[in-house]
Amino acid sequence: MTTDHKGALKDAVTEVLEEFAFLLGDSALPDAEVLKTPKCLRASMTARGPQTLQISVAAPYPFCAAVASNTLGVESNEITQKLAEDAFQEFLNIVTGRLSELLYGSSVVVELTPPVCETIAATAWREACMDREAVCFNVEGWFLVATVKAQG
Amino acid sequence: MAYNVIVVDDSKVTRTMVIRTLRLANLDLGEVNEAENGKEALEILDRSWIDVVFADINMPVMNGIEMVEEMSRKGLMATIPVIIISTERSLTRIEELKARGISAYLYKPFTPENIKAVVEEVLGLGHELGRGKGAPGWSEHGRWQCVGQHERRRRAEE
Repeated sequence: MTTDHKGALKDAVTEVLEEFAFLLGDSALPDAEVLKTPKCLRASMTARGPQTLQISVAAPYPFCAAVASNTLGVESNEITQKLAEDAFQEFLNIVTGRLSELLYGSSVVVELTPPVCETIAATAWREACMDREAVCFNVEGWFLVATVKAQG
Repeated sequence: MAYNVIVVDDSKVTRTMVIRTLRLANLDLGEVNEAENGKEALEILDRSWIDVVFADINMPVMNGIEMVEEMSRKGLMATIPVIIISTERSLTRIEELKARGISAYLYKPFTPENIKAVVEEVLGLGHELGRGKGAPGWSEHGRWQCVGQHERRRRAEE
């Protein structure tokens, strides 16, 4: 991931957090507490344009539930795991659209694959948090990790 | 007059959000249909009276572009306005969809005000907004672009 990719990803995530999820995020570094988070989800998708980009976001389950709750306008206790995953996928989908525009402008067609979401094991969450290529955020107390890997 | 709509998106959250936004915008909604992809939407269009289609592009099974192509083959594009709501911001893609007869293109995320303005212009409920740059008959308003009812009527008569 180049500095351009990292900067664009940071801008895209910050913007979508605010406009789609109505949440504010700041750059952050993981601490011991973050690494012990019990249940986390990861959403990922591919964007094919001038380069092939693999984009993913990972966060604790309550963050994904908060995104669903905010976008649907319902209480968090009404959010099922399926809705939380769906909202997290849509969050990534919008981030990827914005990231593609920031990296390549609006004259290029970028093909997006439908996002997929999975629950990840504690080791995978720790690896995601410690990935030096990742862009990390503190979003109103939740930790969010975003990565983009470019080929071509 | 109440409008029958169909919201086509593989994300349940997005479908719910679009419907919620339409209600928040105080649009007079009749029957509200949902479909997870273009194929399901075409089945609903075959059996129901629909006034407006709201569709995503990036969907499994049949995406929004394939759905628009199929609607075009069936001659539905001239009579049913299709509003694409997508994360894709490529102007080339938007021009391609305009050429296939869509009525509006709205970027995600959007506000109730955005969607209300688009629907009002597409259905001719409010005043026709001023024409901007871009394709003939199209107006551009930052987060959305659309063609007004007069232009749609002209196309239908062609």
